[in-house]
Amino acid sequence: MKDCVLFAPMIGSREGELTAGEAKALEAHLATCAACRAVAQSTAALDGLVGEALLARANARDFAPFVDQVMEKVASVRGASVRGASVRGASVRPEPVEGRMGVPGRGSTGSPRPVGTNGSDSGEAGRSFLPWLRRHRRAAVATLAPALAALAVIVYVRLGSGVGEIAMLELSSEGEATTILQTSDGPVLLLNEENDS
Amino acid sequence: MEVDDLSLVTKARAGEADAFRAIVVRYQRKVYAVALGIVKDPDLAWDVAQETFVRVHGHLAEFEGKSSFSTWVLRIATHLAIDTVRKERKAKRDEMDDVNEADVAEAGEGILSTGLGNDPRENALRRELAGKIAEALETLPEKHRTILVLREVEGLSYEELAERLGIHKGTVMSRLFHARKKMQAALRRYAGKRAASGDEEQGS
Repeated sequence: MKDCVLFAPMIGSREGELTAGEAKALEAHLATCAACRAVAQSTAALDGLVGEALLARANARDFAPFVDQVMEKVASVRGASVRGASVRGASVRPEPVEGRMGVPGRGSTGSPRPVGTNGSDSGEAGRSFLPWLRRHRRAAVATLAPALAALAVIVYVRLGSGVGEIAMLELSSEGEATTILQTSDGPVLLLNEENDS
Repeated sequence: MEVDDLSLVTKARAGEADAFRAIVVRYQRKVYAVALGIVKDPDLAWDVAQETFVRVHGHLAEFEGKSSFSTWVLRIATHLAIDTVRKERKAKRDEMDDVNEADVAEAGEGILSTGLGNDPRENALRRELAGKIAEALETLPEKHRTILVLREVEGLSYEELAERLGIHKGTVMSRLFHARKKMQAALRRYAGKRAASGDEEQGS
């Protein structure tokens, strides 16, 4: 019986899967062991049935809508990627695969799940952006704050300076001061080192 | 003449939708069969199969041709199916794969082969039994279902199974042994009834 524990897992192997030594030892064991011969017979009886059964079930299913559903999903994923790029990663990313895998009982035997439209629909992108904005307020503020600050600086400098005059604006941030000079040639930024010197 | 896989892949990579459709149609049933064997639920298997092709499309550029295209596709399907099952499953530990003496003794009862016979060509009962196989398969733990499906539907060798599942060859062999033993146990009652009814018919 001790040998059976060793040889039983080898039963059902295909040609070339065992070493020559293993194959020879298995053959010798089977010649003397009725229990393992019975295992081998049962294994042979089962051989191929699982594959047959599963393919039979696959063949029994109507695959007519399958390829169209796949193509729609592919288009959705691609469209979502394009949208994601066009909004600079701010809003619409392809839906995670895990999210689309669903749970049992929610399979897409009928029409495919709506997972977005293609990237040319700007209204859709806009609708998607607002919920994202609501969910990620801090990120939105962090993203928009520098742009708004820059805009304010430009407006301030433009309004506050006459043509050909030099206007000076000092910005302070975290204890460090930066100076922007608005000259007739355009804005000039004085770096901190120059300010310090 | 059927276009070979690599030609279709090349065309699909170039953006030919019809080529990709042809790939899907060629492998959809096999991918579904593998997914069904692993996830059990037909609708979930349908989703897994579809997601497989979405992934295939998204990663076509990464297919290097080191393995056959079908192997590559089915590897994606297998991983997706296993991931799906594991996400669905409650935290539950499967039993160990060690082979002990009691396992061998039980597996050696041989009633399945008695009931079914050994010649696949002449055994009409095999076809009838195939309908029961899926049910029996569903009773197996995920790891046993998976290895049986990969072995029988994909026809993977011990080495390939070891590579695919990330386990040693010895574990492949013992896991397959247990998987078959459980299948046999699930089918034994059915096969036993058939054998008994056959005896009665012969006796009468």
